[in-house]
Amino acid sequence: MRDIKARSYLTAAFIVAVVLIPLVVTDNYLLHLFCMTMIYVMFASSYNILLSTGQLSLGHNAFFGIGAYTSGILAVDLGFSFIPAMLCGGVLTCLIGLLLGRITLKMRGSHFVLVTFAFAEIVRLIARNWVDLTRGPMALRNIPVPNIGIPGLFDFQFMSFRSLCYLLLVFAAVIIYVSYRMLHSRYGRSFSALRTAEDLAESTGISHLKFVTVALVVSTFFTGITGSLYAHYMSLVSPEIIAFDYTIMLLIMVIGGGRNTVTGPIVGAVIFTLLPESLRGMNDYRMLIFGIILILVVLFMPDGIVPKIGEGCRAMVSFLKRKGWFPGEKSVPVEAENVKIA
Amino acid sequence: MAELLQHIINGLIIGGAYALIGIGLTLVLGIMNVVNFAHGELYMLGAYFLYTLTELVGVNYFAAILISTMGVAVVGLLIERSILKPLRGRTPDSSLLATIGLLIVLQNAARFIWSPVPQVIHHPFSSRALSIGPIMITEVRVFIALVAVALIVGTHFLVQKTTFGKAMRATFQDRGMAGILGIRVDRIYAFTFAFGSALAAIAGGLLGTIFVAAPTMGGFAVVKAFAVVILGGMGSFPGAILGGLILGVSENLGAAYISSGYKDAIAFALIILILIFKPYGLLGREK
Amino acid sequence: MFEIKGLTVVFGGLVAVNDVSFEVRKNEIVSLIGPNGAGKTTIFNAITGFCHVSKGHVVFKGEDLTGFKPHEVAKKGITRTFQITHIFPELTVLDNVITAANQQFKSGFWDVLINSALVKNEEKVFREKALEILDVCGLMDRRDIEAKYIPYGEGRLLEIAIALATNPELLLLDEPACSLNPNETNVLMTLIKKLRDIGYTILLVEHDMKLVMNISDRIEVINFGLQIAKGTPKEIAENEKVIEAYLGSKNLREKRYRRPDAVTKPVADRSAAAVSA
Repeated sequence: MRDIKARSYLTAAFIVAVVLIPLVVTDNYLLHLFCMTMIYVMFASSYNILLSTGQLSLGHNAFFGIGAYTSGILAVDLGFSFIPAMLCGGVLTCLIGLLLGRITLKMRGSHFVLVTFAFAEIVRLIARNWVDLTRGPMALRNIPVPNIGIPGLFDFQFMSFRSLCYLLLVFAAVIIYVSYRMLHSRYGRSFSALRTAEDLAESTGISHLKFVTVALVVSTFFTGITGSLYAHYMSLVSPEIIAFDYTIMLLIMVIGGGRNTVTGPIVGAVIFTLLPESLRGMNDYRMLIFGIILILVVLFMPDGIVPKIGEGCRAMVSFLKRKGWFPGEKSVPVEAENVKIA
Repeated sequence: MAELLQHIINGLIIGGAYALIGIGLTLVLGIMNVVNFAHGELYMLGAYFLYTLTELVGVNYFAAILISTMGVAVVGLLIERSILKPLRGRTPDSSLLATIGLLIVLQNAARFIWSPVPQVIHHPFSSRALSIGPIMITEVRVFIALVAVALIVGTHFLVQKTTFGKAMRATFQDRGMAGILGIRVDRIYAFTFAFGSALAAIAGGLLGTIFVAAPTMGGFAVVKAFAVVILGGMGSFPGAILGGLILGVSENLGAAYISSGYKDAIAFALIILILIFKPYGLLGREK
Repeated sequence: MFEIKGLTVVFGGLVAVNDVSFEVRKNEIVSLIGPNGAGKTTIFNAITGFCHVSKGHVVFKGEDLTGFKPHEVAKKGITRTFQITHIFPELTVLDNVITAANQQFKSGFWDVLINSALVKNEEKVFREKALEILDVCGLMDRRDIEAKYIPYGEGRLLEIAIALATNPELLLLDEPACSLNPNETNVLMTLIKKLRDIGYTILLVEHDMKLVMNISDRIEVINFGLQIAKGTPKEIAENEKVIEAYLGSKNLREKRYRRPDAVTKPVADRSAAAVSA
């Protein structure tokens, strides 16, 4: 009981702190960092929803790109305003995801991985070569800033960094909420069941096709939305955003942070967006270091940072309890009684 | 007609090299159940080791090919011992992710060590072209074809006719049983990965000679490798040969008659199409 | 309530199950025994749709279920467990059971997204049901532990709990005592008897003769796909054909299994006691 209360207070305090950052900080570069962090938080959380069903996709960078290009092209070429453009970006990404799903969802393991990888590369080649649509390597430019408005009544443009921070924060909150609802419900339990014991899951009536499709739809829709937000934030989109490098970033964030949890991708996104920035001088070595980090994470921390932090906190709390520093029963945690049968 | 034949022959030669890369990948996949995304980087290292030895150190070309291949085999061994072995008990995702990390590390390391500028590897053959009927083949391409054939035959011999090869096949069919029967599965794994790396390295050296050596060549190679393996059937040796040849020929024909810009897309398209319509490949079987 | 009539299963040239017929009445515990390879698990597979039926019928509550697929059979009220433990390792013991009841949930995607009253209510109801099941199976104090951490014996109990979550009327247990030590087997025996008392009907395949003799109402003996005997435990223990084909020793009497303390007495005394009883 005490643990839950403490945790809620901490979380609330943390949220308040995050909300206050854009108000307090004035340096534009730092605000830009905040915005990019929000974008990665959204990207990682959306990706995690599909990953928790056990399907490792290497194609999400392409979905991000599809969302970005759709929204950008609709805004620049057809004069769509922000919200419709963004929604179309999300929906189209989702439809393409469904199409890909139809083809791939009977595949397991490495087949699925390879098809999504091939898909991403094909999308990248199209983005680069279909110059009439996407402007190719010259990049799609002059995408208007996000705006909310009712024609004729009012129109609010998100021009300042501060306003953009809050816009992205709101969207991040929405995606985190959806992620939470999905993973902490019978969907999340079913995802875990399918990931770890598919045959048993199927025989208790959990259809792999049905549940993974739901995860795929949610995941690709929000990845597309995130892509659109990125396009309007940066006001340009180039085929380079569909590079394999971004898939690597995604994998490190979600797996390093802690897959299958809600907070894992968030923590991972924050750490791995801010980390390269503090290593600014070593920009050339950035991807090399990330490659090494990925290998180290897989070898030594396959469940990610968040579960380790959770263990560490629990261990610390029970240690303090035993020493009498904490008012609480000097009980040994239940986990210690059980031998792990690996 | 002669032109068509020319393209086909060229395609077969390149395809032979593709087959070498594919065989390496399919052996690792079949015997160790590891999807090695870093396979293309070993191909790239083969090219760069060859470049270093011939251009920077001045070693004789043929000796350099031998030495560079051995060198990459050692690298492969190190990788297997330090990264793949600890991950053996875990889910297949783990080793897959680790090889993705390895891909990034090797690619970027190469960029530092050798610079991003593509390098030329000089070979001792003349640029004179031999003509066989209506077809012209340069000497170096003949060399590549001969090496590819020799290696494929040699690997076939190794796998089918030697005792060690038998042990490899036993491990491929039933890992657990092989271990119980006294086969040192550990050693088979180490050898397989080193051998697969060596094949990739030779292919890299050969193709690097007729094209260029560049840090990004690994990225292209790994896609070709997967296309070959998927086309032929994961784990199938003859499948890898067939897949390599088909890919080589279709790429050449596609580039000549359709468009050379999307040439690399052929490999991707093949991957997707095969996985949809014939997921076990042309010669593979359900395991 | 449940009946198989003339069940025959042929694989290529091999007749795995040859014209087997028996019935299981409501609330009975019936055991299928026989040497390894006799065809017992094949019978289970045929009933639950994991393999084909060459001839014969599977009838449940008057309805012919022959050839139904596994999830269809499950929907009709027959659930089975497997020889190899199947649990959901990364969910807690309680969540394992709640998840197994997934088919009975009515809430849809949008309900879950907005956490509607329907969802809240369902979670509460199914959680309570799951707790009841855990209580019956004796796993209450393990409920919040991740399933991969519980000992093997409890894992077998959890498997049964998972089967119960699907609301079956007939339980097919495939070697539930497999690899359990004597203590764990006793716990299992108590559970199976309790389940029958609650109202379930149970058909089990088992090798552990102590378990079978102790809890079965009736026993069917299969060897080489053929039925060689049927009857109460007492009848089976004395049946010459069964003893010959499977049990092996003439000293095996029903009484030996009913009184564990009798094992410490010398053999001669026991035979004398049995004769006079």
